[in-house]
Amino acid sequence: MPIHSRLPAALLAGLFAAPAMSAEQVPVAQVSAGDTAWLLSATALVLLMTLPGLALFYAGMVRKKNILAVMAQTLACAALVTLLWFACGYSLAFEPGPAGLERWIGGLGGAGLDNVLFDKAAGLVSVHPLMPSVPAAVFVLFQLSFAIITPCLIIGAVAERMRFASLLAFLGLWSLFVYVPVAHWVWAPQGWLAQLGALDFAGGTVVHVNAGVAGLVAAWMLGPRVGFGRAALTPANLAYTMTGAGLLWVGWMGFNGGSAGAADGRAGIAVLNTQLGAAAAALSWMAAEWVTRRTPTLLGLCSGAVAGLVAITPACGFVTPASAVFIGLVAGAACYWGATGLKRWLRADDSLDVFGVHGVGGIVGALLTGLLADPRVGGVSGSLGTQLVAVLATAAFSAVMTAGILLLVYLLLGGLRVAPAREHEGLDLSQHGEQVA
Amino acid sequence: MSSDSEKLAVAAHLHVVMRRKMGRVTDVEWLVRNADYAREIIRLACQQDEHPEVAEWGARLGAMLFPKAPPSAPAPVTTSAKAVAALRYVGGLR
Repeated sequence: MPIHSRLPAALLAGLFAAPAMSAEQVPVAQVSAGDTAWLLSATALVLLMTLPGLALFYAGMVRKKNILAVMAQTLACAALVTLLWFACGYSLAFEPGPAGLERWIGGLGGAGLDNVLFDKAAGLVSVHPLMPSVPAAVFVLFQLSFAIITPCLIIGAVAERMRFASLLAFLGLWSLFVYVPVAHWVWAPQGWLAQLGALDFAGGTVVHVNAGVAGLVAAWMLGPRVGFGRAALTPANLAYTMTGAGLLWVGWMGFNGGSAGAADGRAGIAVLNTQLGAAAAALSWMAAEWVTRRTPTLLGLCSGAVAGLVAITPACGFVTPASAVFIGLVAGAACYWGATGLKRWLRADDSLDVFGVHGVGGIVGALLTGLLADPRVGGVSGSLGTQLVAVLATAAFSAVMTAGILLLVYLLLGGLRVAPAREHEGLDLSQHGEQVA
Repeated sequence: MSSDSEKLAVAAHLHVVMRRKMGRVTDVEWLVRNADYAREIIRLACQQDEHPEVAEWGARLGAMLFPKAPPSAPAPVTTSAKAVAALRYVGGLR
């Protein structure tokens, strides 16, 4: 048998194998009650960021006729990714991969979460090596909450014009073929970026650069909304956006603090840095807007806070509080430019500025982590070069894969956009048969 | 600074597209003479995302009649602020 015809069988055998770094069973007493309680709380906080935080954040920025559509898209995406994570997403991200491919993708040894067990009679519980003091079930759930919010972020870039079925197909495929591999590269111990020494405490690269670039590519491929650049596409209700931003801010404490994997001092510094980064960026964006446009807006304050949260995400467990303030100040001004000047230059109708806020914020945070990481906080020094490699690799992979997946969905479902008449009518009515009074 | 004839020409264009696209009749002379009337019509035009051409001419007339005030000038309130707020969402959110 020629070697190439043996490859699929060998690959499958490797994918389903369960080598040393997969989840293992330990006595229940080995699990820390404090760490478990904190990770459960952090998971709930991160889920709150998406449902309803991100849904409200986005709903306030679209026109009234698209409020319900963007909320439906967020909810459906969360449910879809949950089942994909259960089926194989978690396993491909965090279980060891087949020999020769373990640096690029995980295996299917944990597909269907078969190896996530709690045996009350025997007093055994599964734990994952990355968070050995909490049950593997909690680790799976915590990581799921990240897997959920990442594709949901992309919804903002394609808002107000994408067909619901095409969007769901795209987000499902994107979750499996883009988020999962990048999460493996950066967070799995065998991942090539992890082995290179790339630092990403809570997802600056995996979540924000990844989603930001995907949003930009998707916005460019879909084309602008009808009337973009000529008519005022006035946001429906920025009070929703403020409510969503508040939920994102609070939930981000779990996003970053939970990434410490324990209820310890590092979680504490990560949460403190999160608050400082968000506050500094909110004021930095406000100042930039005030100087250039003479009007400090609520949307600017909300956007600045989110930009700061994005930028501090990769850094929060590696830097000092003073560095967190600096990162926030830089991110606020940089993301303001990203959502205004850069947006005009890129000429893509990224409806809700996913790239301007998440892409630019993620890049700023990742690079500054390389410059400012303090060994006293995280035990490691950063490298600007390594961080740049991680950002460029993630951005290039995300861009190419996003374009490919959109093309595939276009071919399979016969289109990506709703018809112009449906777009005028609004996606609430045309896609969901509902409307806001 | 635009001349009155230029303002009238743009106001006439806006008048025509609003009548054609929306069935709304405006007073071209009054658009150039009365600031409050102009602001209200421009605000209305800029909200027409179903008719980009209307919004485009509305924004053009707005820029012509109400160029940005220098920093020291006191900001006019109500309708002019609304027109400016509507204009900020043309081509961007932030």
